[in-house]
Amino acid sequence: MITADFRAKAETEWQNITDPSVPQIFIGMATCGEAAGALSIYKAMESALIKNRIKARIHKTGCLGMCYCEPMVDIIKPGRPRITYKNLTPETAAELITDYLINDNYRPDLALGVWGKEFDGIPNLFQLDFMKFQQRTALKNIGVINPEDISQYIACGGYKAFEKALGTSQQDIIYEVEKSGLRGLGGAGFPTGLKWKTCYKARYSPKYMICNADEGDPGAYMDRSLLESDPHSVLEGMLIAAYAIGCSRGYIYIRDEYPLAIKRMAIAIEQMRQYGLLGDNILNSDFSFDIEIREGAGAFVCGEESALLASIEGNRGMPRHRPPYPAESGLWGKPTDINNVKTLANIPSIIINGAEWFAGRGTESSKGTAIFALTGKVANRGLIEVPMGITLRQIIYDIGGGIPDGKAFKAVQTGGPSGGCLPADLLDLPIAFDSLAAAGSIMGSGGMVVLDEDTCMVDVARFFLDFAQQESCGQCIPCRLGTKQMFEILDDITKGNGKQTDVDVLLELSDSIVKTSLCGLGRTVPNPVLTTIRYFRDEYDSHINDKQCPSNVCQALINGGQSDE
Amino acid sequence: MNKISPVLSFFKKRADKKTDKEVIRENPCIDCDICLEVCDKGLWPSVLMENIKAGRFEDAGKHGIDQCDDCGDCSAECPMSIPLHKYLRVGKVLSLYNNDKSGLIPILLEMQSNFGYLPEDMISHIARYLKLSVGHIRSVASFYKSLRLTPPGRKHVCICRGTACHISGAPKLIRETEKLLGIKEGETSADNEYTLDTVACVGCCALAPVITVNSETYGKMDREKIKKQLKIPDENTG
Amino acid sequence: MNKIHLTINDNQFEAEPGATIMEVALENNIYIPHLCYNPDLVPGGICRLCRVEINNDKLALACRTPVEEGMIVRTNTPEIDAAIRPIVELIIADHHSTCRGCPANGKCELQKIMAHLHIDRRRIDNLRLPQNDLPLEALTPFLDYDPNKCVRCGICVQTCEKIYGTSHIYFLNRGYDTKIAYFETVAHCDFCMECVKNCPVGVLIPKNV
Repeated sequence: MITADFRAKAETEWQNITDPSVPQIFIGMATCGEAAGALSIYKAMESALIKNRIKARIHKTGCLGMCYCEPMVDIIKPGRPRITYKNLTPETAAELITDYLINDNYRPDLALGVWGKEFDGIPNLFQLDFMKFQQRTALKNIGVINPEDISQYIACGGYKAFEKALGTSQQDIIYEVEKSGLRGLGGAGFPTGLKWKTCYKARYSPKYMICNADEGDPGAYMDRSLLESDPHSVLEGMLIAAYAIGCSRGYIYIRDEYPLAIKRMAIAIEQMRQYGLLGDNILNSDFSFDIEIREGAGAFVCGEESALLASIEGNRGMPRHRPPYPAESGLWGKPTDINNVKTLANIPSIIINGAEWFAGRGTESSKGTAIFALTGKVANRGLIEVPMGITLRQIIYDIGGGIPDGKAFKAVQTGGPSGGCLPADLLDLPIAFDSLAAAGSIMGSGGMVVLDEDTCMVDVARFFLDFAQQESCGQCIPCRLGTKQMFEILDDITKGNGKQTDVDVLLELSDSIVKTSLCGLGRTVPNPVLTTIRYFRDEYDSHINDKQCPSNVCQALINGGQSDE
Repeated sequence: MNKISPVLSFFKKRADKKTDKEVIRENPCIDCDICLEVCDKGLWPSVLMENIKAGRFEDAGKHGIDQCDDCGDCSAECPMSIPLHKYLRVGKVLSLYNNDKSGLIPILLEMQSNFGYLPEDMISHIARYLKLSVGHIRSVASFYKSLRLTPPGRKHVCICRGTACHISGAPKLIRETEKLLGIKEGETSADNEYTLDTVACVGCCALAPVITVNSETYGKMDREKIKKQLKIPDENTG
Repeated sequence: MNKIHLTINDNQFEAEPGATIMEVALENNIYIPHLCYNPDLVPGGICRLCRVEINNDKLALACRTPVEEGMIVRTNTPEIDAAIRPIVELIIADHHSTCRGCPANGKCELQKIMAHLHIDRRRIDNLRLPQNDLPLEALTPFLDYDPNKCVRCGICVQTCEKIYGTSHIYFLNRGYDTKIAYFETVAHCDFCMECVKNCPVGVLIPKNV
């Protein structure tokens, strides 16, 4: 067990941070925060503290998911609640130090919200529209704790679930996860409990546990935020899964475009080793397990299970024919369980709170919560965790605050290159695995890009097919030639060279590619084309027949072929 | 702690002006053994570097390269500014995967991040070390977009072409940057200053459009900001 | 061992346990379209053309599905046709169209498939054809490689690997730009020409030296 006095020490330390004697400053330093300028904020605040001889502690936290407010800073002054400030610049950040910490003016003009009851005109952060409708389970710690400090995670109840799991039998844990109805949140939605059970029953050993953090979908960054802001919740989920299945070795496959996530994960794993949470005889039990980070090298297809395995083995990341499935014959031919980051982050809560609690939310077939990265033409962009069954309208208008600049909503794209574009008629569609599939899209890993009236749907379809043909592994013929052919046709349409037969050819090709491709990539890449044809056929017709782009996007069709530059 | 004599400090000043890549090409080690003196772990970085350069990875392992804690003192104190710690980093990863074919991609990535590309002679050294064929390594390297066989320019500019960036004007940004730098996507400028690439998605969608320069991410970009970021003087833009 | 009984296109056949549908069908002169299948090699299931219908239900790959007792296999339903015809058309659109002078003319697997499916050339005109012909590449000093004809089935790579333990021919790049390449390694190619023999479409052309 994690010794009681260590847990107590971590908790007192956390108490000293949340109810401090000196001011505590929290700066959101995930990749998005840094890109928005958090580093210069950090420097400005540090030098302002030194200049004014103020004693205070600066913590680097992850990101709260409110990307539209980055860069963000939280300040706890002794005796005051935690106040979050938004959209700071180095100048305003330095002002904040002098105004708030010295002169006790808490600058309501810069404040976003306060953690707890409304405070002197500053609203409760969690009652803001963006937060009100969310139910954070997997994301509960992001932006709250310092991701590079395991004691803060432990103080917030971390690794309790793993301790509980160690005292339970392997079958009971698998049964609990099965009963909760948790489905893989990486896109396909395969029941997690069933996967674990298959792998548990496989006779061969050793068994491997892999966390799939190869988040390749353009327009999605949930996994990155989770890894950067709360790596231990994912690692704890991995430990529980490995214990339940009986794995002796684990890998985390992170794409190399996420250097900060890799760095934070490496720190977290090192800290776990220090506290005896990895290695031989973990916490004095007879369970031994170790985790290694493997970096992807820029191939979208490696998010597919069997391609990911090929990549870890040191080969070209090409999917292989299934069956056999990885749960029976995976890494080096041994049983391998592969789970997505978000799936694993849900596991600790299920173990602590029980399957009934988890299954109590969501819809009949999709339990629990869904995590989305809400981006594109929407006012409040950011990371949201909402119960399954919420409608698109609630997400886009209530949480997202609608379309900025008074533009009209046109479509919402879910599921990245494997998903589809849903029109305004479907705004009241409840979000669940089945309902999205019926509408021609997929849940996907959770990218949700809102498109406004200025977006050309043919151009969007062309964009995704361009992505697909660049990322196709080139192994199986339908995907290799099919994505290229569909891209060429769509490219011609956006350049005014469309033929009357093109839409029919696209439909026929899509149907064939879906039916015959080797892996999930090929089977889903026609979705953006199929949904845009299904819901926005008129735009295809005006591109092909009238050589007009109704949204004035396609360069070749504007001003009679003259580009606007 | 200044261990450099006045004569050597003259060389150091001159060498400091050069980029790592130029130093790597020239290999100006003068066998002063200062790196041996400064290493806390008692390693001999210049010898380790020679071992790694010559592909004697097993020897580097025997000389205790796994002890290296990447403090960077050897490179900082080197009078010729040789980036010794970069070789040590590569060597350390190599020592982790002795005879383990699954280490191919981590090794290639480490080499890429330190040298900017995969040098031809290193590929054949690795092939021998991991008992793989050169063909296999080149085949694997050509599959992954992050791995490159040619050296990039000093500033490696990647423009994100993710969904959110696309609808926020990434295509236009790519066209404009191509004009600014005078090179097409995937090319390196003649003076070796810039390489322009696109990347599938860097996961900063809320700040679209996004670019990265040498792995640093910058959000909400437009033509003017790129110009500022890349320090392109106005007269060059035409 | 007991023989397994199965039905292919309403005819009864016997087969050895462990045989695949493809093996049984070819043995009994039933043609199933295929490009990447070679009796001597491990089937990779890459060309995706050998679709058959099993037990009046789902489509499966003949080259990777072992036979089972009482299995009912159909090789010529409209569903199969609808699934693979566009793929064959894609291959032909991407394939160099002059068969005259091609070393594989007459024994080409693609010609066989075209004849089998009665491919209509007019439908291919609706597709976008490659703009330019790629130049012949000198693969080895004695072999030329024609990327315009290659279907990237990987048979040459597998053949070489089977004979020499490690292949001299490799895939290069990915996606549409995938092609095969030769790298001189420790063991040199000794021109056994097995890859040329096994190539389904005549991509590898021995030079007249």
